[in-house]
Amino acid sequence: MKKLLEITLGIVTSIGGFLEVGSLATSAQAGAAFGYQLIWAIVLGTICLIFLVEMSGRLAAVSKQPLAGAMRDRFGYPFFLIPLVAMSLLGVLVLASELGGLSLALQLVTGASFPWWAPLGAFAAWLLLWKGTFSIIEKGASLFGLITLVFVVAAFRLHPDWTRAAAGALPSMPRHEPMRYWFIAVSIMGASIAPYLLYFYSAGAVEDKWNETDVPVNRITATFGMSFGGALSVAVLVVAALVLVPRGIRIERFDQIALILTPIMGRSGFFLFAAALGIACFGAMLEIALSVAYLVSQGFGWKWTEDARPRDVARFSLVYTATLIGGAIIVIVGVDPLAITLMSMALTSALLPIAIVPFLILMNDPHFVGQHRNGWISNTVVCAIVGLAFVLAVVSIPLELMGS
Amino acid sequence: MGVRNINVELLLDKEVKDSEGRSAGRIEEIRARRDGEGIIVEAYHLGPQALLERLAAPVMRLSLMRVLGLHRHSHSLRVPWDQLDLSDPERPVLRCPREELVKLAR
Amino acid sequence: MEIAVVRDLLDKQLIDRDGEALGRADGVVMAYSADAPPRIMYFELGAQTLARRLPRPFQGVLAWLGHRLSPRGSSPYRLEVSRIIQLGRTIKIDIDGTRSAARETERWVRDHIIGRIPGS
Repeated sequence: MKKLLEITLGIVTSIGGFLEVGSLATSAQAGAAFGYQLIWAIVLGTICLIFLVEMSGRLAAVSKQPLAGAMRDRFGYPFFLIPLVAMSLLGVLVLASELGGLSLALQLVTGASFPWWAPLGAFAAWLLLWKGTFSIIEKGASLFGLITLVFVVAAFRLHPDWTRAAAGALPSMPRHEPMRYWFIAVSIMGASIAPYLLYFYSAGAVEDKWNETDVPVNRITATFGMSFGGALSVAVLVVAALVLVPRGIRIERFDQIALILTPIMGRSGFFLFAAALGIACFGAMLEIALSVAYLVSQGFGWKWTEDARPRDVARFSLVYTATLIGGAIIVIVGVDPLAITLMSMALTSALLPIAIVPFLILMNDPHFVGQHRNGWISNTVVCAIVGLAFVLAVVSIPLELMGS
Repeated sequence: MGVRNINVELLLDKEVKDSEGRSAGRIEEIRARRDGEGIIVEAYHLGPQALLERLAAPVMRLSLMRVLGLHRHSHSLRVPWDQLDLSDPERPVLRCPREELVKLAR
Repeated sequence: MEIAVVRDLLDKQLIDRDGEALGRADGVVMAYSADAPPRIMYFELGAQTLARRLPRPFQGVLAWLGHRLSPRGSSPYRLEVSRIIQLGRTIKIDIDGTRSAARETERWVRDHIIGRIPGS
C-alpha cells in the first residue's frame, strides 16, 4: 500500500514537473506550423527521457552516488571539466529562457512591461532556494505544476481527429519548409531530453536516501510519469494545431502562444495559460539552478544539499545564486525570449552526447551499478535517439541560423 | 639518492620508455597494497593510451581500439615497482626491456 | 588489501569523521626512492593541484583563479593517507572537518559572501 502511494506521488510529481517553457514553446510552434506531423519528435524525446530518468534513479539507488559525482569518480579530471562546463553554461541559458517565460506570464497577467519581471522572478526563485528544503521545492513545484493539465482538458474539448494525431506519432517527411521542420524537431527533442533533469533527479534520489529496493518503483514512476508528461506536450501541440492553423497564425513571438487557450476557454483561458506558463517556468528555474549547483559541487567534492542552511553549504549556495543571476542578466539585457528558448533547446540536442555518453558508460560499469547494469535495450534506445538528435542538431542549427 | 615526493596524477599518460629506448606504453594504473597505516606500491600498469582506458567501457574499448588500429597493444603490461625508474618523473624509464614484462589481459 | 590508486583513490570524494564532505582527492602524493617500494603518502586538494593536471596552455587561468579565491594562497592542502578510516565509494578520513584547513575556502565563502546575506 505504501509502495502504491509512493508510485502515485512519483508519477504525479513527474507530470506536474514536466512542462516548462521549452516544451511549451516547441510543441506550440510545431502544432502551429506543421499540425500533427511532429508528434513523433515528442514521442522519441519522451521515450529517451524515460530510459534516462530511470537510469539516473537506478544509479543513485545502487551506487549511492549522484550522477555528477559518479562522473568525476569514473572519468577523473580534467575530462570531467568538459560536461561540467558545457552543462553549466547550457543550464544558465535554459534558465534564462525559463525566466523569460515567467516574465511573460507575469506580463500577461498584469499588463506591465517585460524586462521588469525578470529580476523579480529570479529573486523569488532564489528566495525559495535560500529558505526551502528539497522536499518542499520538489513537491510544491510539481503539485502546483498540475495546473498544466489544463492543456489536456483543452485538447479534449477541441475534439481532435485522434487517428490523424496518432499518424503524427510516426516520423514523416515535411511537406513544406523542411529546414524549419527539422529545426523544430531538434528543439522538441532537446526540450524533452534535458540533462539538467538527470542531475536533479539523481541528486534528489541520493537526498532521499534511495537504495536497491527502490529500483523497481523507480522504473514504474519513470515510465508512467514521463509518459503522462509527454502526453502533456502532445496536448499542447494538438491545441496549437487546432486553434492556430485554421486561423493561419504562425508563432513568431512569445506572446502569440498565449492565444491558444482563449478560443476554447474564453477569458479564463488566457489567465489559465499565464498561470500554467508561470508556474511551469518557475518550477523549472528552481530545478535548473539546483542542477548546476549539484553538478559543480559534486564535481569538486563540496558539501551539497538543499536541506541545510545556506551558510552550511556556502559554495553550493553560491553556485545556484550565480546561476540565477546569470540567467537574469541574459533576460534583462533584452535578448528575445522565444529565440533563446528555441536555440537553447536545439543546443541541448547538439550537446547531448557530452552528457549522455559518459552516463551510458557509467551505467554499464559493474564497479558502479553492480548487477544493475543496463540491458541492451536501454543502451540501444538511448544511443539511437541521442545520436539522431545530435545529427539533426548539427545539420539544422547552422541552416536555421543562416536562414533567419 | 633521497626520497622525493611525486604527484601520481601527473605520472598518468606519461610515455614510458624501456631500457632499449623503445616505447613501452603509458602509465594507466598503480597497484598498491595496504600495509597497516601505509599504502605500498607494488606495480605499475602500462597501457597504450591511458586516456582511452578511463573513457571507454570494456566492451567499447576493445572495439574502439580495433577501429583505431591499437588492438595489437590491447594488453596491459605489468611493471613491478623496482623496474620503473622515476628519477625524472617527466621521463619514466624501465630498467628492463619491455619483453620481460608480464602481459595482463584486459 | 589490494588498491588501485587511480580507480580507488584519485578523484574520490573524501569525507570526515562525521561523514561530511571534505573535498575530492585532486592529487595523490607518493614518496619515491630508488631502492624501496614507493609509498603513497598524501591526498592533495586544491585548485593548484587541479591546475597542474590541465594541458599547459590552460594552466594559467585555473591557477590564477585558485590563487585569487583561496585564502591560503599557493600551497595545496595535504591529508595523510594514514588517516584513512574507511575505503569505499567515499574515503573516510579521521579528521574533524569543522576545524580542518581543507574546508578553508568553504569557510571563507561563508564568512565573506553567503554569511553576509540575511537569512543564511
